[in-house]
Amino acid sequence: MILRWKDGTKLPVEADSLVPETVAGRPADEVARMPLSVGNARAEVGDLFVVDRSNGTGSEETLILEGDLRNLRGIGRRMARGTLTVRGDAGPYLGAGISGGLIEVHGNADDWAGAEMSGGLVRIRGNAGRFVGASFPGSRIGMRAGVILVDGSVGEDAGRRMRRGLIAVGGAAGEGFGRSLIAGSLVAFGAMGRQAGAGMKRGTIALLGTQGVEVFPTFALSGTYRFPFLRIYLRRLAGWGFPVGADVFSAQMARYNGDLAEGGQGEILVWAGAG
Amino acid sequence: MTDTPQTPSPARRPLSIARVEIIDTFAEAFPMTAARAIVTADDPRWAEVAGRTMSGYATSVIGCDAEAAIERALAPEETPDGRPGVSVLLFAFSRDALEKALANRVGQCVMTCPTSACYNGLPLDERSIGVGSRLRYFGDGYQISKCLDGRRYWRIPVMDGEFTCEERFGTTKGVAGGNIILLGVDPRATLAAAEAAVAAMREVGQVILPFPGGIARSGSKVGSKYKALRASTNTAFCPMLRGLVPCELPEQVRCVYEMVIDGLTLESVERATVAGIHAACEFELVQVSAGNYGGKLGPFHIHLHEVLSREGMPRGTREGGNR
Repeated sequence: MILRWKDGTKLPVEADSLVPETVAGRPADEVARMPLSVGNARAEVGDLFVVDRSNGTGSEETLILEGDLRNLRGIGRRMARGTLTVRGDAGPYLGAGISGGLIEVHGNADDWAGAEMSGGLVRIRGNAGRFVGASFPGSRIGMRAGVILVDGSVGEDAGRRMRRGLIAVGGAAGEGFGRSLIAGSLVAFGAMGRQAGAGMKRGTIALLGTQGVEVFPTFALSGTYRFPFLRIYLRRLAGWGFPVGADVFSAQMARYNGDLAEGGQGEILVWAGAG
Repeated sequence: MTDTPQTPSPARRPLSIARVEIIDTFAEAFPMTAARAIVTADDPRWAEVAGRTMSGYATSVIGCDAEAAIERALAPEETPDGRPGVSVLLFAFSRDALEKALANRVGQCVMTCPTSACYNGLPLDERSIGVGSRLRYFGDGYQISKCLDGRRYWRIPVMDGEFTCEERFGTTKGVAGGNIILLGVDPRATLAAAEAAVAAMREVGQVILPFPGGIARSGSKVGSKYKALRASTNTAFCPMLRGLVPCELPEQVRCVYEMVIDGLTLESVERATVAGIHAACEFELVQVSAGNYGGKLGPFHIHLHEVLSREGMPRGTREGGNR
């Protein structure tokens, strides 16, 4: 099923209900009558989207959203299965709290993409805003499982308080990448902001960019190594079609243990040259 | 000593390949639990060292905790971490026995080997066994787990960096104890035939030949005059004992070699049997036979004539004739 944005409002639209499992098997007119919150008012899907069922039988759990969807909040939020494709830019809370399925954005995503997710795969072909896979304010744990792939760059505090899972960033990352990380893996291939891994307890932050990194002073360099597990991750990323350069597979990585202020069981691996 | 042999059943229907008689008998094989370990290292040499070491003293479950050998070398693109490696197959009588043997062998022989890592090479299901989950404690609290695609890897700090080992290894019901026995006149020619057979069988894949170089010279029979022994030399196949004990060998035979085949499937063991016979018959032999226990112990009976006819006869095969 395809929903084409009519661009009829600039008010924020709560799009939580637009997930594959809620539209699968429903006729187009029924989907068009589904309620949505627009600002402080109510509207129906048909008021905001052109509902097109022409490309499928309706039984498969596949949903495509088209248009400039920057003021749609929570696209795919708490989704559990199926495939959701966004052809255009997505608003905040994309895929927040999802537990399964695939969300793919052919564009950019705003803040909180994949925040506190517990499964599934979120693929953002463009850039993402702040707090990718992070914990919400007041919450102790961010992303619990699953995978977030951002081909472009991410803003501040990606992976904040993340507990498990994988975040990969093809471009630059803002300040506080993996800040207060509890566990899990973050990989970035571009420039790195300040305070990466600050306050992390466990987990891995692999920085494969060649631009140089200012590692937080509460981390201790332990030496330079090649890590077989990192090759496994890189091969898997390449398998997902993520842009991984051939030279990184044999990379030497400098390992920094830390954050020593939090027990030092985590690690930041920094590119130290091709093997 | 091998775990299979007894006297072959008497010939009923003559078949020969390149003037080598194929005895109308069968190899008797047994179900055993199998696992496949993918061992990698920074270069092929160390991967092979690790693979060979972990499959040492693993010829027969008569006297070893498992039967194991290198299945084949792996190119970097075939391994989980993109490094050169080898695949090792291990067989034991039960999952518990296999888990213990595999964890011990990976811990003592792979983890200790420079630059190595070890991964599961079979699908995971409810029959999988713990390996990395047992070895992780060697990390003394500094081990790190990584989970990707539902598979967990343990990173254990060691003196050249870290040892990576997958947490669980899949198992399957394999077939062990397939065999062929080559009977020759000249020991050198018989050994050359055995070596050629081993090379051909290893090409088949999904099989191992756990004895030294794939060849066993000390076939055994069940029991012994000494009460403490479960098995003893197969006197009927020892040319030196001709005249002292009942002998199963044609008069001119003075050298016998056996190749024991363990495989992940019956089909792979059968294909290895056929490949081995064809390769061996290029050499000067008298007979090709197989060991069994009269069909009373193992559920898999690999009849030599049947598998050869199923796979197609090579040139030089004569059915219904004599040498």
